[in-house]
Amino acid sequence: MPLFSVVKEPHAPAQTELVAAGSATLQSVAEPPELAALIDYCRTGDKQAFRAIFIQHREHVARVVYRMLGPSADLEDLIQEVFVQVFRSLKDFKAESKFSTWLHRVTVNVVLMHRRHAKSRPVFDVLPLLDSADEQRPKADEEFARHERIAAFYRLLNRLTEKKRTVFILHEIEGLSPTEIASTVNAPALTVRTRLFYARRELALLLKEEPYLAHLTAQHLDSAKELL
Amino acid sequence: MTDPSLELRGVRKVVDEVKAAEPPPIRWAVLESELFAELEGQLPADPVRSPKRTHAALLWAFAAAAIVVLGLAGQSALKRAGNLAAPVESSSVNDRTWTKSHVKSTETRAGDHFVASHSDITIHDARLGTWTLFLGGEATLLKQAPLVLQLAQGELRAEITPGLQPDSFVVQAAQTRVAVKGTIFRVHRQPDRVHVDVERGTVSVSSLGAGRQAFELRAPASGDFALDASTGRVWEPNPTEWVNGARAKTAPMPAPALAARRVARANLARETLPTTLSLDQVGAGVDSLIRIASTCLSETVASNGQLSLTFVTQARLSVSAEGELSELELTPPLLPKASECLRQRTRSLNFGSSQKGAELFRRLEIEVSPREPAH
Repeated sequence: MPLFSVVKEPHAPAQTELVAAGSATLQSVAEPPELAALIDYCRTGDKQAFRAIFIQHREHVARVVYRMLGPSADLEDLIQEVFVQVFRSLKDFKAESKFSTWLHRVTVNVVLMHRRHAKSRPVFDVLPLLDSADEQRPKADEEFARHERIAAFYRLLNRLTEKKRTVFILHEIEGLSPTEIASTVNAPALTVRTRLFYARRELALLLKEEPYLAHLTAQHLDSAKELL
Repeated sequence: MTDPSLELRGVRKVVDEVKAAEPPPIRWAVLESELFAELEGQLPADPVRSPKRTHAALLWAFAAAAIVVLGLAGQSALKRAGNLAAPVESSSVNDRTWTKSHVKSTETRAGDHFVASHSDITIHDARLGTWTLFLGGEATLLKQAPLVLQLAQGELRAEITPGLQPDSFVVQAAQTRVAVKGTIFRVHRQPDRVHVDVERGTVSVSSLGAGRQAFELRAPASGDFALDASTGRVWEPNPTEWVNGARAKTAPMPAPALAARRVARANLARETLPTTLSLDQVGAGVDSLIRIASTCLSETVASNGQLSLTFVTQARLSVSAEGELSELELTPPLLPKASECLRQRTRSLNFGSSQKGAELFRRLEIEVSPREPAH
């Protein structure tokens, strides 16, 4: 039994589509006619068509970047970079997987590339600047606590090595299978599983050092004792 | 030893929260603008021009038809400009638009648009100097050498390297042409007039026309000019009113106008501030706060002179637009004496000015170093 299993949600589009992407048989995947037409127009350099694709998919890209990166001031820059890469690579999109699957993979790769490059830069261990009017208001207690837990969780993840962090996020949060992760990170599936094992183990040890998460661990330990 | 699976299950809740979390609000309009500006250089030409582009092209064509001239500087007294330069045509207008805040002149080419949609745009040229298009401004680079800018709207400030040839930096606004040499100046294109402030050096303002003459402004000076620069008013220590380039009468700058300009400048200064604090400003401010808190704790916490303590607390900070720390809440709080000390000593703490100020949440780790034993 895995230490940390994530319930697969059958309606989650990213997961469903990634299964299709991982299939061995590469067949042309039919897109909705509107999207197929937009993609064709984009390949001819139609800006309005690309704008339409941007508007349709930007929320999804933002969520993926946010989940992979955590609270960060680079969020908007990376979303922009994803769409720049999409535009540059659209001519190579062979429709062997769904467009949304391909877009998800481009997004993941852009974030991974960004983190690889960021390793040589100084890291600010701070929360991102809250610059919208809504964000500047004091948060409700529970919302604030949730915000802090998420920030603390990413602080923990950032203490893992980059390779372990990557496989943990791709598997536990993005829901990719070890085989899919293996193709993304160019490593054998067995290596991915090994990294996942050590990532979970290290994370379990690090939990005690993070004040915003330690109490969660304590709660579960208490529950376990009660059951015993 | 505790079963790690139990500990990890404690994080399960957070993982679920992360998976369900929505990203913070994204400035989609700005992002879209920057994205397409970046793609402009990569996208093939539009098969069909969008109405917006057509409108812009008409605007630039109109601007090209505008005839304005002049370029003289560095002289001692007001004089007429005899060497009237030809207006620069805008035929080189392209689809490339810059919106990012800092641009190197080597990246630009004739025809580039500059749209300060979300921040000022500063362009640095190693030879010429620096010019800044303020937030809300739009300009087009008509020519690179000499540099000619068409200011479609808004305001720009130029700081030009002294010693250049006349006409090496020219701003066209409507039918007004502002030419400079070794000067710091601002040009503000308003709906019904063009306002020029000269902070250092000399600029000449003129409409081309047949034999129209130039106004010349020597710092410190300001001038309001009709869009075709046929009439204008120049404020200098020895104020002079000009009509069609001819000295008309002396007129002291009216007091209400002075007050209005001060207000306008104050508003302008606020508008040109960043919307909120930068990461560097926040980092520096929080570092100072931690240093002050550490000092306060060291002074109030009893220590045996050997122990180093680390106090971890969650801080909520409200920073005003002026950069002052208007509110500070620590959870858990410091000791009462240390809190009072912190309150007193953070009065002078300043994070830097911004338009909106900021409300920040930070986790502070305050180290308390052992004090030297008192002798």
